Amino acid sequence: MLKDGCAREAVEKYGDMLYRICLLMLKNTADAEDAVQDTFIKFVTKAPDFADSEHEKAWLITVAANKCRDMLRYRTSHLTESEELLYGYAVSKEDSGILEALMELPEKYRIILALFYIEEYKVDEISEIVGIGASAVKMRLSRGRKLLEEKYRKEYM
Amino acid sequence: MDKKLKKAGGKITMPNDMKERIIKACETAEKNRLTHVDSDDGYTEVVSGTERITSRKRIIRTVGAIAACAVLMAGIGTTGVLLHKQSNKMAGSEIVGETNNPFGDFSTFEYSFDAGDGKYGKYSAETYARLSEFLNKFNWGEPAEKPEGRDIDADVEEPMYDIKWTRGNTPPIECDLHIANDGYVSYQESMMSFETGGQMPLTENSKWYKVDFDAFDRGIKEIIGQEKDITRAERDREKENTVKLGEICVTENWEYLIKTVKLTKDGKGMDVLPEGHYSCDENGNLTCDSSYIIADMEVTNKSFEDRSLYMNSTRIDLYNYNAEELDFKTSMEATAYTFNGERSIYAGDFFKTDFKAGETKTFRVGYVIDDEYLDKNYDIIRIEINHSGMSDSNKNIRYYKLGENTNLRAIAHYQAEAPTEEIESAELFYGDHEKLTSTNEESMAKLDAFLKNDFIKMLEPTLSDDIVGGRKYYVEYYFKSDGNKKRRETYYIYMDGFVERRMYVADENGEWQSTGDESYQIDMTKLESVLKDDIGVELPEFAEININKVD
Repeated sequence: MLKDGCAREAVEKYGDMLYRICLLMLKNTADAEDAVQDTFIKFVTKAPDFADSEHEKAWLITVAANKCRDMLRYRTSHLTESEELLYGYAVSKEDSGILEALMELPEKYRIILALFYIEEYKVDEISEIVGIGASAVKMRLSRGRKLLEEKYRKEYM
Repeated sequence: MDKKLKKAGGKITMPNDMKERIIKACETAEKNRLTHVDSDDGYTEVVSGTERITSRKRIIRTVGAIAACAVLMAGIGTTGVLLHKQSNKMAGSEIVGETNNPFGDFSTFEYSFDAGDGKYGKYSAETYARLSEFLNKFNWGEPAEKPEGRDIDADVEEPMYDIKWTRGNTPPIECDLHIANDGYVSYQESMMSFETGGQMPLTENSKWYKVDFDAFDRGIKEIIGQEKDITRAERDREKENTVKLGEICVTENWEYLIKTVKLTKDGKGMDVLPEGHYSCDENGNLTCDSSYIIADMEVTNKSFEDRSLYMNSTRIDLYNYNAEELDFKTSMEATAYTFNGERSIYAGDFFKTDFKAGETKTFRVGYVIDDEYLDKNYDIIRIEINHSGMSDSNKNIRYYKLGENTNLRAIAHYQAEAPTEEIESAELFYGDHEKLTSTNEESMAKLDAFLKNDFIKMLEPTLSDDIVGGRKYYVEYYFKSDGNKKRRETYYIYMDGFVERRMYVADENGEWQSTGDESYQIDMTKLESVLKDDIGVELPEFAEININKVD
């Protein structure tokens, strides 16, 4: 767990994870940076006392996910960057396309799939973080996976 | 795919310069926390002398804001903070409309209507016209009390609607209308702050309404339901790539024909039993514990060259639709586990099979299927063929529609009557449209036989696509099959012997749809000699048009 006010340590420890989640949700680097920045600012200024580092991590994800949702809701143009945005991250042949396919799914599936497959959270943990029931998480996981597979197979294979 | 996602996702890392910017912003925020004061009207202002936190987006927005506000700032000569406090009294900020709805006539301004359906308000002008009419007539009622415990930004569960528009331009006021599923409607205005570049809510103009959500929801769904959505467009696209049982499916000069569809419960007839779908008894005998749909698929290399088929994937889709939307709850897919284990080589993600020019091979494809899906009726049952996924895989996907509103067991007795295809007509043309014939009946018959039997044999495949000289002749073939499927092939013959073969099939409406093209070479001296001397065709003197010549 981090000490109060240690922004650098927090960004070093959780920055990549939060940026990953925000980028996958917002599909725009500038927006993702805003969301991550706001999350860390909230962390250094308003964070509650955490029981342990898992609680701390989950809190950060929850705040970042809520921030992304707010931004998506109030975004007027829903501008997203081109697929090239991701090319630098998945350069090997076998990886190409999977993130692009994930990005094209509706937001409610993106966050669940990212938390489950990339961050390796369990269903009940995702349920806590995202604030929906475990059965809804399972449902979104199942449908999201199906949609992802469909999209990936059709457009990127 | 799970591992692939994990691996690819793990590669996303925050750039170092971004990290530094965020760390700096956090440190600034930490410092500012001690110097913030709350003003009387509830706005938080930053005491001069402390640093301001600026987001990347806000930097961009502020540039726009400065331009928008510059004139106004000069005119009234005050600060941005004062500006937003006075905004509700500015001329031009009132919307005057003839309707009684409290937000103004929706048909007179541009707005975005987000129905939470993932389309972010990207509807047609017709749909927006209907929405405007509905929103204008809808009974919004009188402003209501703010519901207890609710915040204007409350995260309300779906379904929820969001309408946004901009009012005035000096400065622009952003209007946001939220319709929550409990019937509460929040109306909020905000304006860009010159000081911070962020959107500042004009809380004094916020209003709440309580409406009949069911009536609203029904009305909106009805309007949006008429919009031709992506799913429907996708289905239309699929229609073009779909053939029925008994028809020949053509893609890139490969022809597919499903000869039989059968059901097997003991794995009999399967070349390979996939791992996890069989068991082994005490005597070492394999027992298949899954049902299979077996399809015998005949594939023909219709080109004149030897080549390999890269079969990407094939599966059975059992789909149900709710109106135009795919119903994932009741639909399912059965993926093929074998693609002729005997003849095909699994190469990376593809099954590679070598074909000679014109060769036909039959593949036995087994789709593992749970018994519970065998007797259920589905709106559409089809086999997807994802052929040659090397590039542009979407273009090559074809669907065999096995049936509509039926079940697999009913289909699984299909035995194709092998359709035969014959040349309906073959004609030779000179230049653009001049049909070439012979002088007598005997020659006519000879020409017909030559075009139907021998002309194609004179062609040699070429990789060149350089055309030297103009087009001299073309030969046009019309084919007809048992299933009334019509096909056309045109061979354009150029002066230097280059031949361009273009292939088409007729769609449901009789329109010719291109299925591909190929390049060949022909010995022109030999061709013209056969036509003129052996058959007796009168060949015109060829005069190429010189486009540079000025009379």
